[in-house]
Amino acid sequence: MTYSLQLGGSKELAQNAAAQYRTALAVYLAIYAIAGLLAIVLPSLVGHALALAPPYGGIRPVGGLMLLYAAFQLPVFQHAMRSRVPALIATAGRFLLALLWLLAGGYFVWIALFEIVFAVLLAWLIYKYMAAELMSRP
Amino acid sequence: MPVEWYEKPFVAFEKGLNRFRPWHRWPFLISLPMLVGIRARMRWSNLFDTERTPPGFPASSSPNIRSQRTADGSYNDLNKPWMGMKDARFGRNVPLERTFGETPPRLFEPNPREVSNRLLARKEFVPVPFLNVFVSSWLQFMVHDWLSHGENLHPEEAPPYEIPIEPGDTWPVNPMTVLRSRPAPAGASDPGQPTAYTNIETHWWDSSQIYGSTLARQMMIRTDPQTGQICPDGKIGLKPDGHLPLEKEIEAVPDAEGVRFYHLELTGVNGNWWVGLSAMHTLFAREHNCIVDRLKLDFPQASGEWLFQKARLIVAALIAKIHTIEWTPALMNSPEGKIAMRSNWWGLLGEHYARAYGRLSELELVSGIPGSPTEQHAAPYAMTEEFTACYRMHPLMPDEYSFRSHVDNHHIATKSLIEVARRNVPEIYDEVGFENIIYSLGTSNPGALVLHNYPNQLRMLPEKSDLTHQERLAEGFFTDLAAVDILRDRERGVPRYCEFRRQLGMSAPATFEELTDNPAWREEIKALYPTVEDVDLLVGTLAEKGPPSFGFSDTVFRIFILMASRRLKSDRFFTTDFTPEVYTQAGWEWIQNNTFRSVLTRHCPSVAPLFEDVRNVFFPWAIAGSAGSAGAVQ
Repeated sequence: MTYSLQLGGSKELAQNAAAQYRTALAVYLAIYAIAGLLAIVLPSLVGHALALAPPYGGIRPVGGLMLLYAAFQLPVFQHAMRSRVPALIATAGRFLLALLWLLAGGYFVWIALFEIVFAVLLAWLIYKYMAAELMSRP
Repeated sequence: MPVEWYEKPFVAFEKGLNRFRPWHRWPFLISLPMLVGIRARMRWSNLFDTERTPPGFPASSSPNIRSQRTADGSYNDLNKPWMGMKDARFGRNVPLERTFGETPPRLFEPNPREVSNRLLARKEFVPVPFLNVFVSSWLQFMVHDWLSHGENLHPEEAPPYEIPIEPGDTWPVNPMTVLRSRPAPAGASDPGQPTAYTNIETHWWDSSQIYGSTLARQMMIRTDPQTGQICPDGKIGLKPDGHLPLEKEIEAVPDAEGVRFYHLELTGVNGNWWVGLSAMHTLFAREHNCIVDRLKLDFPQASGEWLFQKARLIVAALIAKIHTIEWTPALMNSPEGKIAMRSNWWGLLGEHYARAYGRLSELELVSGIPGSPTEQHAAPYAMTEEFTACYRMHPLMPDEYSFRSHVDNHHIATKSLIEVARRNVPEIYDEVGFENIIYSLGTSNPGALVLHNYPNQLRMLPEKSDLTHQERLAEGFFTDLAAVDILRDRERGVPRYCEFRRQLGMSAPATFEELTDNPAWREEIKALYPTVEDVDLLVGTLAEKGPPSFGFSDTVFRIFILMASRRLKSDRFFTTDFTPEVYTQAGWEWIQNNTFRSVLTRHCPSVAPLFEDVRNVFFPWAIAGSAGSAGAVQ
């Protein structure tokens, strides 16, 4: 009998898929959190990096939003299968966000690129995880 | 087409994408909404009623029709009490004008016996390595619940069909004779319409294979074999060793198919009896009695009648659940197959949500069919002839069975299919033992649903058990079930493969090359059928390459996706009355908390360690004595 037909084997496959998804999501959320903190603590640095014209008063709120955005995804990070509806909404949302960054133009295109890379990666990994989780059931 | 508002986008989505390729050739996230669209479309395009004059139904004799199933299946639908009852007609999945039965010479073209010999006969057993033989016995267990055409016409009522035997064929007599199907009694509106046939079992998913479809049969099953009296506490009568009693010759209540089943084990339907089927009946008779014991704890004052009826409701629902979330997903071992079946029961929100919070919505897509509103869609509920045709899955049966010990896997006996069938079953229990039989079925593979894999013993099935083999040879008292399968579909007007697919909204192969990618089969089919349009449904579905990880073809899957949800959605006891009030709180929890795994564990605890690490108990179990390894013994 193949490994995937066993309860232990299929659960292990699902756990491995979950670990891959969580790792990628952790990197993504950590980058957002760091960027958000930077925007709050050092708005002028961020403004310079993005070649924005001063004043940089709007950067702090954006940093706060980025932190909030990362925090809202923590339940998905903790257990994506129990928060699968938010996980799927977030998956679609990342593509939308990438589009918004792209429309902003300028140096934001680099953020759009970052967003699209993670959007594709996380969509692929959550698909693999959900399929593996499903295939660990009778 | 009154498709629900929320299903319309799915129907449009499926229609659009199906032009390019079928659902199973799209990625998961696209195929899933396509499946929703297929089912929604078929509910309004592939259900047809044949009850031109609704049949009579008995006056209700029970004050409890709201909370218990009747023996004959009447009063499930309170507006149309005849719906789905015993002796109601089979419905259809294709328009009625397409269901006129074939007549000679077309009926015999090509010769069904030749189809059997040249395309169906098993050359070498082709197993399904990821399934066990419980798949076969469960399937038969279910089919006996849902349908039976009953006795055929006797030769004095209508001359049997005569199938000529080709030179060189080893069939003992020429021609082979096959009795005609018994048509439904003609009604005033029937002339000019296709012949309809009646289902002599209840159509509902009500475990009538265990409890019978008549009150008289039900009373026999409830009779204690020791005392000859109805079990006072609502249990099924079992022998002291926990086995089913034998049906006595003096008992004048026939099974659906008449008197030829005397001396077989007694149950609701004991036709086509063999040890795998007997094991299923034994397990669920014991389960019924366990449920009665559980109910007695909460309802010590309840009558035996009340306990029996509640236990029956619970057993029927448990079996429906097992079929939906264990048996079918085992045969559709892919993410799409699993989510389709699991969402039938729990909805897309899933098991955890349903068990924690109950229903979020009345929509079956969100919270599953059980507990959602009852709906008949385009026609009153009935099993269909096309469904019957798609469940012709005899290749699942091996020709030979190896029985081994569940303790150390040592070989006990090897028996042929005939030797494990009919009146031989009690002897096998004596010789092998119940747990060893369960273990042996759990560790053997069924046959694959492909051409050249039809059990040869079913192609020369002995009739009239009181005759010797020589007498049978002289008189030709044998049945080639493969030839009969082909003939019955033609006789009952089930369209041939290409037309069948078109009627289901599928593309039909234009050439033999499109029919199958197996070049040897292609040439064999070409040699027998003048055109691809002539290919029989059974041959086409066995030649077709199914969706990945599926045990059957996409063509039969289309019928299953429609009918599997219909069996639940049309039944009041799975929809509006699927509540703790009707089932009792204890019964409700029994259904929620049990599976086939727990049924096996409860009644065969000594074999439980062998399926402990199997994801689905319809997959092959571990081999006894070989720590950790699992797989089927060939």
